[in-house]
Amino acid sequence: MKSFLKKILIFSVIVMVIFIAYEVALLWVPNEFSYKKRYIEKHKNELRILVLGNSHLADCIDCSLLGEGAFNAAQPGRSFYYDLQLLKEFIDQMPKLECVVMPYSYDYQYWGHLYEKKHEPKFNTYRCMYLKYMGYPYSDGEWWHWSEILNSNYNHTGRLFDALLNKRLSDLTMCDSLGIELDASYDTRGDDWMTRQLPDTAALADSTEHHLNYRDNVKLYSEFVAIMRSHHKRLILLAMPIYTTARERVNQQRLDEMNEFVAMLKRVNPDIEFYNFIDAPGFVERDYYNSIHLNNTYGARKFTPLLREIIEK
Amino acid sequence: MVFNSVQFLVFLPIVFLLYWLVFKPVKWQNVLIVVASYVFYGWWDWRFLGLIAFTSLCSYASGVMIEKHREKGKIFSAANIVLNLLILGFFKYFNFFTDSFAQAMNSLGWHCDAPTLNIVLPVGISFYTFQALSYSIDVYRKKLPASHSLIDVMAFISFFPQLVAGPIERATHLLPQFQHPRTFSPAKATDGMRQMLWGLFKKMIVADTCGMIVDRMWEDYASQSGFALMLTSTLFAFQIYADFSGYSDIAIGCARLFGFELTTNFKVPYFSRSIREYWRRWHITLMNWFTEYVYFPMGGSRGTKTKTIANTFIVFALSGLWHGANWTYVVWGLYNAMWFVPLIILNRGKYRDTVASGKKLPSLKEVGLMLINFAIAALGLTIFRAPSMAHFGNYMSTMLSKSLFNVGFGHEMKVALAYCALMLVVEWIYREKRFALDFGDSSTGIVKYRAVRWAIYIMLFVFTVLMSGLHSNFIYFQF
Repeated sequence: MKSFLKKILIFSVIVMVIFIAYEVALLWVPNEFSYKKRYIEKHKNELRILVLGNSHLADCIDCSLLGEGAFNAAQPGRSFYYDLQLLKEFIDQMPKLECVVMPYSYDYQYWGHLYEKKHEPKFNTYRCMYLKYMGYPYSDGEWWHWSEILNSNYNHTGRLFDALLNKRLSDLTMCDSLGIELDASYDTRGDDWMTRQLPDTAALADSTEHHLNYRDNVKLYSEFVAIMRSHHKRLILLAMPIYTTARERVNQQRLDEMNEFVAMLKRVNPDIEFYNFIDAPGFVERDYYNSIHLNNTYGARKFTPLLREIIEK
Repeated sequence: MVFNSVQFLVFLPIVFLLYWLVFKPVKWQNVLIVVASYVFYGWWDWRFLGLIAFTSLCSYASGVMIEKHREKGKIFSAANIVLNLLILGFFKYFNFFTDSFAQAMNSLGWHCDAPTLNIVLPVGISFYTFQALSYSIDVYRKKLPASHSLIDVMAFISFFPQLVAGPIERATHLLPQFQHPRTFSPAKATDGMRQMLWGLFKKMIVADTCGMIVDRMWEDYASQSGFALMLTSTLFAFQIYADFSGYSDIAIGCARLFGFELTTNFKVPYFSRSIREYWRRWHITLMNWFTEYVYFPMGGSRGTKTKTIANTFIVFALSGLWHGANWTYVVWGLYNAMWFVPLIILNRGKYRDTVASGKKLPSLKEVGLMLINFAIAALGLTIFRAPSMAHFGNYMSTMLSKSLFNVGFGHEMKVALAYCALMLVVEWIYREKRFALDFGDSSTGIVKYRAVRWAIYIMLFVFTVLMSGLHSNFIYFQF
């Protein structure tokens, strides 16, 4: 028995050393999470405009068109929980910050990775990546959430092999230097882009998960807008354009809920600005990446100037 | 709890250490096995623990009663069989039979609404029910004395390594192992670890990688090329083999850690030269069960040719139905019988030995036979995978179109096929051993060096953990 246990112990130690070395090695491979956090840390004294939120802004706000001191820190799939963490950490360290831009649209009150997605690999991946590369633990944070091997399906082997074998480290982030997503382009959107990510509004949002998400989102947004108010910064909320195929599926109930939610936020902070582009004219087929996202080429070039106008008002 | 989870990684060492270091008398070891097995199963859904306990209790009681009242043994044995089959039938087949009945009535012009219940299928119910049946039948047949220890019977029915997906153990083989003291054997335990490692590789690398592609292709098969669908069928054949035989390897290896020997469930079936040989190598314990408790009692091959053929079709249809409440499974069973029966009639394709035994490579004829047999099996498994026979028909008509010759491999396809090839090469090398990586004592070649063996273990484990795809459940859990 002793010799068997000894063998198992030696095997376990060797394997653990390899895994720890692997996890540490990954820290050296740049990715979007670490890049955006480091960028803010490095430029916090110069930032004037900070774009937060999820893919709806990450894909199509080209900060090079917003003038100096703008940065797109939004990320696909990000829960507002992490936006709030980021804001809390940096708002006192950004003396020149004028405004924060955030998405808010027809189903955000129910959206999140907090409850609805808790059992999905996606949730574990984000929880791990935000902890490991941005230092934001999820509320039930455990030490093992730090491990990409145990939690993440963000292609860690591919990233490491790319870093070791093929590419320059600077090529490995998924965004450009000012934060816009690189893969949301017109050229790579695929033939079925019109039907990708169609919103499913037919189902009533009345599950337990929806209610829990709603409760959390009220809390998160309220705290967010309250912080913005106490720091006297502008908060711009944007409901982004969506393609006809998606628009047909968005029902009036959802739109009413969106307006009610914003009204509720305005009671916390009357100064917040909300711009609804859902039915904005002028956005055509080639501006989209899929049914609910503008692309980083034509879409970004069309939408970012509109945002600039709003900011310069 | 599943084998490829962090929970199991913690659970197993704790149970192992308690088993060998704390709970030394065999009686207490069996108690620990029952507790551990119930925790293992309850991790998935504790509500069905009562069902396993009830099945165990009924089997135990029927065994005792059969032995006590031999003249009424048939009644007690039949009562236990009926009760277990009723439970299985309710959970697994209620909706299937009511729907099929209603459809049949409607097709005859009589309007009939089927009552449907939202029934959750308890994981592994088919496996442990069959094991429970084997116990009371064997006691009735006097092949085994009734156990007077409820704990032993509970441990036999709920033994966690094979509880949810087999191998389906015969009572005559496994129960006595619970009744005798076990001694720790380092060689046996090391063997077990090797077999578990290989099983994990098959499940987490081969099966999950193939499964990801297969699921995606099946979701949208109408817009795929025929060639891509042919590859999908091939990948599914590898997926289900790697998934199920991987589970069996882990189960057998895990049982070895506790001093138990489980029955081999797969013997490299894709190296078979005929469908007859294939069915001696594929899901061996299920086929043995049906042979022993269904085929032989019906007369087996002792009667006329017609009766043998009928018996064979019945056994294959039942084994198909055992997999689930869907006509595709029944058709899959009959499809296999269709290939199997001519070989019985012609008395061909027995192949008792392993292909190319003692040689490094097979002959061209053997390669041809293996490829034909694989194609037959893969086509059958496509029926098995199809959501319905209508889907199967559409899938085949898309596959057998002109686009069958549009040869092209996506990157993921290439990776999956490379994993399958790696598995096949290793299993070919060790095809005459109990399992791949069965280095044993008589290691030859490069693996005779301990450092090389250790390097293989470490590389395989690290590779398996790092490269594993989506952590899907084992396919056979649903049965």
